[in-house]
Amino acid sequence: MDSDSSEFCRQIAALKHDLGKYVAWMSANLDEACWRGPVRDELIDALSRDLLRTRTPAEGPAEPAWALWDRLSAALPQPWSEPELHEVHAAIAVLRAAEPALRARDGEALAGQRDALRAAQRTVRAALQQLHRRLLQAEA
Amino acid sequence: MSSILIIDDEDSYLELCKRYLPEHNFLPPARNYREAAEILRRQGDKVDLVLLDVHFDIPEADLLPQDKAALLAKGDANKAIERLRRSQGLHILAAIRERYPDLPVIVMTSRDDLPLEADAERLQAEDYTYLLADDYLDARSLKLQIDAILARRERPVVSDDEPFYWGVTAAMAGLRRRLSILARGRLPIIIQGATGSGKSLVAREFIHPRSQRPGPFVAVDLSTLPTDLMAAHLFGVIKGAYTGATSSRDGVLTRAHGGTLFLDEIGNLSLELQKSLLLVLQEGVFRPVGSVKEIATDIKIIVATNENLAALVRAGRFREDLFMRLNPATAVTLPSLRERRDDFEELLAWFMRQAVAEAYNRDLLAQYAEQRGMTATLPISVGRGVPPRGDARRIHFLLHPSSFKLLHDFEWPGNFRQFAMTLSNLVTFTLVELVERAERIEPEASSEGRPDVIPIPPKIVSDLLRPMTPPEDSGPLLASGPRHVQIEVLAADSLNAVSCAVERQYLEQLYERSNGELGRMGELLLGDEGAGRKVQLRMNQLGIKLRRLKRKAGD
Repeated sequence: MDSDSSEFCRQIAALKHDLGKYVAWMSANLDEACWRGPVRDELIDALSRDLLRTRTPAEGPAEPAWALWDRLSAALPQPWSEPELHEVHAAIAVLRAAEPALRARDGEALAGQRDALRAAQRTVRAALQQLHRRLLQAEA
Repeated sequence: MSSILIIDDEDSYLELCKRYLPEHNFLPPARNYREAAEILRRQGDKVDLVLLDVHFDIPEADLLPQDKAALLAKGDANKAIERLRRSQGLHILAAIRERYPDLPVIVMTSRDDLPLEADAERLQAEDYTYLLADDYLDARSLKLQIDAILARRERPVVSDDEPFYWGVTAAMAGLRRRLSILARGRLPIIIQGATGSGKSLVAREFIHPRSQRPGPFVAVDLSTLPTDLMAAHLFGVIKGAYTGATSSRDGVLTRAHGGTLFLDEIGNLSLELQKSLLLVLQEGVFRPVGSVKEIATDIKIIVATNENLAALVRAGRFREDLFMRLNPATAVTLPSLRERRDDFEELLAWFMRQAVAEAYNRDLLAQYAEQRGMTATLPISVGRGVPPRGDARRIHFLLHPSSFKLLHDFEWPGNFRQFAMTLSNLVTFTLVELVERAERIEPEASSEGRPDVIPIPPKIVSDLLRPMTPPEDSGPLLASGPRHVQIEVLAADSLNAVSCAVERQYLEQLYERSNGELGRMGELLLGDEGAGRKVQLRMNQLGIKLRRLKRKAGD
């Protein structure tokens, strides 16, 4: 395992932690009922926290999921050869599209987007987790 | 309601926990180690559990370790700091453990997310340290994990089922945790401690079961083996190796294969056999006496001694390479009974329960209970006061305050072994007296107002201790004066042990006469007032506890 590969594995570990862990931090723990029927404040609160304030450092502004992705993925070696990174990229685009509705707390708009948002959150988590595991196995 | 401290640079855990675990009290979060240490210093006794993040995106100045020079000297400084941020929780955990060895801590990460595999192994081996079960945080499973940890915490850490009494002090909890960790590792363990302090008991009943090794526990007391038979006993012998070796025999190394070999009084091992033992530790092989064939073995070695092995190395009596292979950095010293006066009362109660559980005493207690119409098997307690209400379902042994003081202040040179025997005798003599008296007199006619309370006659205590008390004027009395002290010279297993005991007494008394001023001692001993530190180091090497001496001076 050369130092470039180790560095790449560290970068993916950071992405998995900073983005994958927090992209569904509160919403993954919501009851199933929150994802059906009229959109509840609880769902909007959880999605806003997870997507608009994905990283919330004690000092400095909160960072949305897409800004975090842009910042961390820009440091990855280009072009990406790992299919998981392309999956995450596509999922982030889905999340980013919901930004106006989330900022406006527009329940009606979110009602039409929530299934896609939930699927995108899961994709970000699962793809980063899978990629990290694969890199760890290769290291071992 | 349990109090939980979150150490995290963000509010993520706090938000989640407040939302999904409202039944607990969450203290204001600590953002770095400095804040955590401050909260624990002020409210440590109220904190039931710590949730600790691993990644801390905080200013460099707040990161542990405080001295980062060595880290920054290697390679890219920015990357080094980033790595430090991403593993900061582990540094914080190590710092917390120095002061709070048994505080439950959930490290809020899964095994995969830890920077190094070795970190995961180490954390999983620790008592009171937990990792998250899932890759990503599921509030429900976190709740289950927290509830399980807190439920365990409510039970006493150590039950009467454990054959060694660990007590209730933080120091002993730390010692227990340390041995538990060492037990699971593959490295050897050195146990130090005075005679009767429980070295072999701890090895057999605590370390071996926790080592999870399938093989047996085999113990050898090297002080009882004749020198010329030691090699054959340890390594085995093949037929015809020497006159009298009429058949091949396995040694203890063969018998202990797959298990644990406990070598008591390791200082008695000859230099030649030390070399053979070194081969076992280095290569995992040995040769039976008279054989050229090497036999592979897989054993965990525990050695015990009441001597200072480092001093034996300096004296040329113990091989340095073997000493280093025995893992001296993690050597564990079991305190003597004298050094455990902080929890003497609990210790007394524990040993009394053990004494009552012995077959003869159990029978006597059953007779006592039957004579008084009480339940045959009873839980017991012990103390200096009478419980306010009578209770026919337990027996309370009442110690007169003067008897308690006698037991408390006694020197107990034979340590726990002597203590256990004394208490066993105490229970026997007390119960025999009462049972016989009840047989002579009708119980109804006796004046016993509280059959659930058994007073231990002070005379029995003093009679039992008297033969073990050294006469006041024993030992060579030297002239008085600052350089003259009274030393009691007792026989020991080696000259080194004798000289250490003499030096220990000398320094302890000198410390007392110097009113605890190490500088004065330095001046007296080395003609240099600045040599106090050297004196302190020497006292530490000899196992002298300055805190105990200070407390004694304060009494």
